[in-house]
Amino acid sequence: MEKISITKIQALMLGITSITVTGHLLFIPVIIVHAGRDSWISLLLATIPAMLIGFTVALLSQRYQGYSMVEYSQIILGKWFGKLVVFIFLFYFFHEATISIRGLGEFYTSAVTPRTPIMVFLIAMLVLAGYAVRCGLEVIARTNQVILVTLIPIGILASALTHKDKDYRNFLPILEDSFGPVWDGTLPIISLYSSIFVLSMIFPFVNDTKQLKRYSIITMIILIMMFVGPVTGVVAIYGAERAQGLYFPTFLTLRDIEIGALQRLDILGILLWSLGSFSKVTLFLYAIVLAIAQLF
Amino acid sequence: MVVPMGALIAIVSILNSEDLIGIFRFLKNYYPLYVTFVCLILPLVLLMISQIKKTREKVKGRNPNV
Amino acid sequence: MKLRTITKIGNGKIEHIIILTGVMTNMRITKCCLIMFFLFLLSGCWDKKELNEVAVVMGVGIDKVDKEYKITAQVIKPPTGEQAGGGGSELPTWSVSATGRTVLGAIRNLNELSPRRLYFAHLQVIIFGDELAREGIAPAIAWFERDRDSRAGALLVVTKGTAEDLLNQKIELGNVSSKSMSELIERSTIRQISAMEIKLRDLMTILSTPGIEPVLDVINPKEIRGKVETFELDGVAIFNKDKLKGYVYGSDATGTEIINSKLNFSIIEGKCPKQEEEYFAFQITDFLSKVKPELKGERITLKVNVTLEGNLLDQTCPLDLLKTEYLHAVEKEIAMNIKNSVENEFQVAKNLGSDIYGVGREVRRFYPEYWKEIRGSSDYLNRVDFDIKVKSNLRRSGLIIDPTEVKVKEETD
Repeated sequence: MEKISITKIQALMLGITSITVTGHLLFIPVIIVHAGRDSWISLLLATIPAMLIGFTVALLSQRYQGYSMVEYSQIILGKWFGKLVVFIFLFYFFHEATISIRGLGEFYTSAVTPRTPIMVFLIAMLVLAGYAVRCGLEVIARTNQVILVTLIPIGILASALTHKDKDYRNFLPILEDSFGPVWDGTLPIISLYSSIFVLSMIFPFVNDTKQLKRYSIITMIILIMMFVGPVTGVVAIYGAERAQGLYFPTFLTLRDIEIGALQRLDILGILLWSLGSFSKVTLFLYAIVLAIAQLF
Repeated sequence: MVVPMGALIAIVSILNSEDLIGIFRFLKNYYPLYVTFVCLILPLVLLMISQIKKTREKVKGRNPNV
Repeated sequence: MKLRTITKIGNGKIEHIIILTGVMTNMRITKCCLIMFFLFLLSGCWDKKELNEVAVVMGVGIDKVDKEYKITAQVIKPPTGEQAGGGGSELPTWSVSATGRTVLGAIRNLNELSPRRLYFAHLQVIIFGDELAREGIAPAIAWFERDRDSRAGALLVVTKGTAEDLLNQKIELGNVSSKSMSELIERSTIRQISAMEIKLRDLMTILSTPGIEPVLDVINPKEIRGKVETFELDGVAIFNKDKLKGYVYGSDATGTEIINSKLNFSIIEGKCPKQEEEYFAFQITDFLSKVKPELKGERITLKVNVTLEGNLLDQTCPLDLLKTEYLHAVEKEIAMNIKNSVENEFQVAKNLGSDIYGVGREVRRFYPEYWKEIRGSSDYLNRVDFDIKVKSNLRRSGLIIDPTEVKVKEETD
């Protein structure tokens, strides 16, 4: 018998990949539709709730060492009420997994390969994710480490290469319609960052939970920074009015990079989102499976 | 466990009649509220209740008569 | 013998049990099945397009004929075996036109004529005919925005005649006319001229942003010795919203390029000091302009700060223009030229009701409350003044200090 153990950095890296990918693919257009040129303010406003959720998840896992969300909800709320709450969480995990996988499928069918039935992507992704979950958490965590290390340079490269098309004067005037739209834009970001709660299912396997709170708060700050580039980039390139109403603005900015012979970098975007979605779906599938196993 | 769950997700996401437009509208309108409730408010409530319990136990431990 | 880890989900926890297994034939069969299954998921070449199954579209011309869109697509003709050794006088492109009520409808009709699928991923240039441009270009670009193949980097130009005409011209330099057109614009700085170089993405941005109107390059067929032999970059077309309103020619057409800092490597001509009818030519090597509006009551002052550097490369007057006394006059002349270009083009655009410099956008950026009052009409254009400050630095003068004509003059004196 051997206990699974991953490091806390591995666990948090899982969180980073899963949030960034769906965020860049599906949430950035939503944020921009709401907040327009003030999206970056929304992003900054979301910092505090994001840190709060990171803190909460870490604190709960520290307090109930070795217990997952399913178990400690039942300890805190009593057996039946706890089970009800767990059921809500479970439904959410399920929903999130479905949405992110469907989102990737839709991305493929509308932007990359329109003639391929969407089923191909969904099933391929799920078979892979299922296989990864069967291999265990350690495998997932390590795979994700490799993936994240490839994704971050792509992100930095993308924002550096689009720099010449950006006009930062597009952010003026600041707060033209006061705070209303900014709040509307903050909510999607908060909801996006809240999904780090899924880590409560894998924190029990972290071998060393010392300083977990600090680490998870730092993670949330890193996440915020990873969103500044794409959100501001899209507005700076397209202007607030055109940025609203693009389905995949981040993909479009990548696709339209043209620096001499260096063009058509859309493959990088596809790589980024496919790998990241794989990590995310795997994480959520793992959480669902584990939660169901522990619940009944 | 993995296989049936994966299959279930596949079926749901395929049967999900939402197209891209639908997903976008959903993400724009209802999803944020729902997720914020589930993933931010509920954990906070959990934390609060656990905190209350803990303090109560502490008080009990210090003064068993209360 | 090998080690295998199996994830077993028991009550409460996931446990990893390491078990020692022998050679498991069962596993092998499962693995083989899995491999076979994954083979079907390798859908990488599902969307493959062989080069000899598609027709690569290099340029598209859009005209309006009887309320229908007429699309002319210029495709590259693949070399056939017979042609390879032939004279080569035949054009390597083929143009085909069709009409439809929408752009995509017209392209569908094009596909009825073309045995190969039209492939738009290498689109270089989209040409709007005059008539279509006057009725509005926004409906014509909708499909290009939506289509996943088309590039946002395709250049947009207007032609005075019909786009079909322009695309079908045979020109002397270059076989593929749409490629030549895009080179005419994209390599303009190398040829020491300036062009707006508006791409599809820029147009999308400009059209959707309030307070700025697009300006597109104009390309016309140019007749030399009674026969069309080349294209001509002929001023710019001024739009109001998405409708063409008029053209500007010559040095006045550089106004928008000055405001947008696109004048680099261009040539400015000016009058020589103290001498009538004598000119110098100045090449810009570094150009930057900054625009900031200032609101005083009802008047909007557009402050334009231009910093430019350049080389004095030509002159007809026998003067040593590098002397301090003349240098100032030269720099003043350059500044005058820039001011005139900016103001003249604005004047033309103002009469057409078009805000080509994005004055409205700038006002919105710095005075959002005032913009809310004036938005909705282009009346504010009548209240715009310019405050143009040009800081020009004459850095170099080619390989000589004073030209031979100065020496000639000195000798004769």
